[in-house]
This record gives sequence, C-alpha cells and structure tokens, in this order.
Amino acid sequence: MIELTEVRKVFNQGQPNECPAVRSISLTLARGGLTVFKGPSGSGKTTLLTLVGGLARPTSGRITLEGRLLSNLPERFLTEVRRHTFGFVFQQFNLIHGLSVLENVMLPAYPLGRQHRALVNAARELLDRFGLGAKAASRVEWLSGGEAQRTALARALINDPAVIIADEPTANLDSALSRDVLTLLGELAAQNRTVLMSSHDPRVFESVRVNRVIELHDGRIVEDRSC
Amino acid sequence: MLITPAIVALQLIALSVTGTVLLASSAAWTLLRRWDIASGSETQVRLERRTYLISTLLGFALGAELLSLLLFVHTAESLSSQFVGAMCATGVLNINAFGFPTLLLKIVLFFLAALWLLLNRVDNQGFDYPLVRVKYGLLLAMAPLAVLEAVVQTRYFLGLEPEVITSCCGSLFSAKGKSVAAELASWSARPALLLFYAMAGLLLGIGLAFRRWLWLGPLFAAGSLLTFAVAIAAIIAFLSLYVYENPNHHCPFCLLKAGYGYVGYALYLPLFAATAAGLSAGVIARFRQRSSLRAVIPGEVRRLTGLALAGFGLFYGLATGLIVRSNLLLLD
Repeated sequence: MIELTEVRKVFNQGQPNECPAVRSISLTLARGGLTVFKGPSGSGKTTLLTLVGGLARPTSGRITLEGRLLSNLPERFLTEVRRHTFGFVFQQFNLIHGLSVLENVMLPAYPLGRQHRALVNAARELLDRFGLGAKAASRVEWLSGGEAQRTALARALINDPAVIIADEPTANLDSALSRDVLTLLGELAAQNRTVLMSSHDPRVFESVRVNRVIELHDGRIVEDRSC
Repeated sequence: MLITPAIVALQLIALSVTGTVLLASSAAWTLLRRWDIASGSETQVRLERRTYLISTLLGFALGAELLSLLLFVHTAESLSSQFVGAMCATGVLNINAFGFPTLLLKIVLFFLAALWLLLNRVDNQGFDYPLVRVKYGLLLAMAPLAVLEAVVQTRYFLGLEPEVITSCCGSLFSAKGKSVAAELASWSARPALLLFYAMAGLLLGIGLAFRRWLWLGPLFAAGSLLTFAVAIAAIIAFLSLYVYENPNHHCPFCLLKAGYGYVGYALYLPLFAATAAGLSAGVIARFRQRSSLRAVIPGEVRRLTGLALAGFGLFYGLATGLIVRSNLLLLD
C-alpha cells in the first residue's frame, strides 16, 4: 500500500517563477489494481507519479510504502527501493539508442548483480510474452512506436517490481496500439501489481480494465472514483 | 613570516575547514532544535536534504583536517634548517608561544574529525538518519576548536621570524627541566617499559572482549586513549633513547628525520590511526540498540576494533624491534 499525506511539490520555490505543481494531496493506493490519474496538461499528474516513484522529493508531506517512510529516505536507500519496487514506463519510451532491444530490457537489472545467463533468460521471456522475441537483437531505433512501448514495458518488469508507474504510456500510440498497451497493463494489475498511470485520453480512463480514476486539476484532486 | 607552499596549504586547509564547520554549525543548530523525523513539514524535508549536502562537504573538510596534522608536523620538521638553534621540529614549534598549542589542537581535532567521519559513515547506513543529532552535536562541540586552531595556527605562522634564536629539543626534553616533557624524560626505563607493555596487554584483553561484548565500548575507547598517552610518554621516556642510542636524547620529533630512517612516521601513523579507530569503535558501540543500526553496528565495531588492535600491534611490534636492535642498554 502507498500512502500520501499532505504532499506538496513546489518548483522554484521562493523565485518569481514559483510553480506549485502538487498541492496538499492525501491519498491511499491499495496494492494491486490499475489506477489512472487524469487531468489536463499542468494538472500535476506527472509530478505526482514522480513523487510516488521516488524520482523526486516532495516540498512537504510524507509518502509511505507498505508503512515505511519513502519520501525522506537517504538517496542510497531510495535508489534501492526504486530498483526493487518500481518499474517505470515513459511517454517518450526513453529507450537507449545504439543498444539492442534485449540490452535495453536488461539494463535496469545490471546494478542488482544478477547472474548474466539468468538475466538474459528473464529478458527473453519478457520479450516473448510481449511478442517481441524476434526483435531481441534489433536496435531500438528500428522499432515501431508500439514495439518501442512494449519494449519499455518489458524493461519496467525486468526487476519484477510490485509497482508499475506509467506516465502517458499511450500518448504516442494509435488506438489499436493504445488498446494493446492497456491490455498488458490490465494483465499486470490482475497479477496483484499496483499499476499507476497518467493519461488524458478518454479511451484509457473509460476502459473496463481501469479500477480507479483520480482526476487532478491545478495540483489538487477534484474527483476520485472506483470503477 | 615565512611563506612556503606547505604553510600556504596549511592556512588554506584551516580556512576551508573553519569556513565549512561554521557554515555547517548554523545548520546543525537549526537541526538540533527542529529535527523531527515523524514530521513531513517543509522545514523537516529541507533539513533532510541539507544534511546530505552538509555531510558530504564536511567529509572533505574533515578529511583535509586529518591530513593537516601530518603536513603540519612535516612542515615544522622541514623548516628546522632555517632557524638558528632549531635541530628538529621542536625548535621550530618553540619559536613562539603558538607552536605547541597549534600542535595540541591539531591532535585533538584529528581524533574528533576521525570520530565524526566514522559516525557519519555509520549514520549513512541507517535509513532513518539514526545518528544525525549525535554527529551534529559533535560538530557544534568541534566548531570552537576549529576556529581556535585556525587563529592559533595563523598567529604561529605570522610569528615565524627567521632572526629569532630558538632552543633545540635538548633543552625541552631534558630530564633536568620542569615541564611535562621533562617529567616524562626523567622517568626511569624499567617502570616505563613495564607500564608500556602492561598497557598493551590490557588493551589487547579489552579489545578481544569488546569484539564479543559490545557494551565494553566506553572501556575500549578509554583504553585506546590511555594507550596513546602511554605510547607518547614511552617514546619520550625510553623509545627515543633506543633509536638515537643516546641515554640523554629524548626528543620525539628527531625520529622524523632522514638520519633515523623516518622511523617516526612509521611509529606515529599506526599509533594515531589505531587510537582514532579504537576511540570511534567504543563510541559507535553505544548506539548498537538503534533499530535501523542493529544489523550494521556489530560489523562496523568489530572492523574498527580489529583495525585499532592491528594499528597498536604494528606500533608495538616496531617499537619492540627498535628496542631489541638498539646498541643502547638501558636495563641491566
């Protein structure tokens, strides 16, 4: 379970261009299920996801993960938690050009020091599961948008994380590919992983696979409904 | 005043250490008053971020402080040829009233800096900043000493006048004087040797017991400091005599000279390192009950204790070798 208590995030605090991105949000996210954060651009969706995933720290407030404080952890502990607990999928895929699909998928597992053979097997298994087995040796710059996003999803799963954070994962995909990605995320949620994603696409937050929709506006929660 | 690269380096170190410690002290003061790990307030979140930055900066500054002791002694020794009457570092330190106080402050700060760095190392291994108050409390205690050291050292270097005729080690470390150094020099060899080796046996016993029972921490810390004091006294009382093969030459600084194979460095480096490790092991063991450090402290303390015993062992081994190989006979 992830719990946010009075979480605020202000960028450029005290400067003329001060920007409060998240304003005093308190929220409990139960384990498992697919939760979508929706809202217009600038509503704080991405910032909130980066705070939950430990990629940024709140200006004030606390975030706990399974009852243990997360947001105030010293960097080395936060890195460990990030590596083991969270898998990230980004709007722009953020795959490393020049590396193969297989190498991209394996990359987040290198700091954990797993056996190379076991790691290659795990990565190939994930690629097969997402229909990318034949592309393992291809360079990522040769992939289509849908293939790139599925590679990013496979990469997010390589460390077997309990929480998947996906920031607008369907924004660069057409309807059919968006549906595929959403299906994959729904399957992960059904396996008791917590999937948190942001989207302003109605096809996403109106999907039957979504368990909860939280709407943000100007950094505040304006609606929170279970589906 | 003499200006040499080493003096400039020492002054820069003193300036940067004092500046960093003072800057960190103001944060430490706020931290000691307002730290509340249970709170998610903006102040607390800001303190958590700042402590990480401040600890990193202090790590560099206090690391430089450790090195400055070695550089200071080496500089004093190397300047001895430039002052009339100075045969070694003793004469250079004696040129004005600030030489020996600077050395004493550097020694005290060496141990405190080592303790702070090791506390910081352990604190960084706990997820909830378990020793944050302890290390910043220690920092506040160190701040006045760091300022004092910078002031006294500056006064010392400003007062280094080449035309001053200074006195050599023979007068300070003479058994006929009335100073503490003279008192030590006048010790007879047999009881001094007995005390020297008895202290080694005692510390070894405490150290081995401490590796098993961590509650003996304060005893091991005190034992390490006492062994350090006894070792310095022993160097003045008899060890220097064996090295120089002269029954009247008690100087602990001439050991640093090339003529004696720089044996002083080989004696002092393990002695200082062992004392710092022993003191820190004893202090750190006190925090073994902190929940986030329960798995960390036993290993850290055993490692430091091992390091301390190895350092003292090296010092005692070398000292014994010097005594055995010497042509001087102090005991019948």
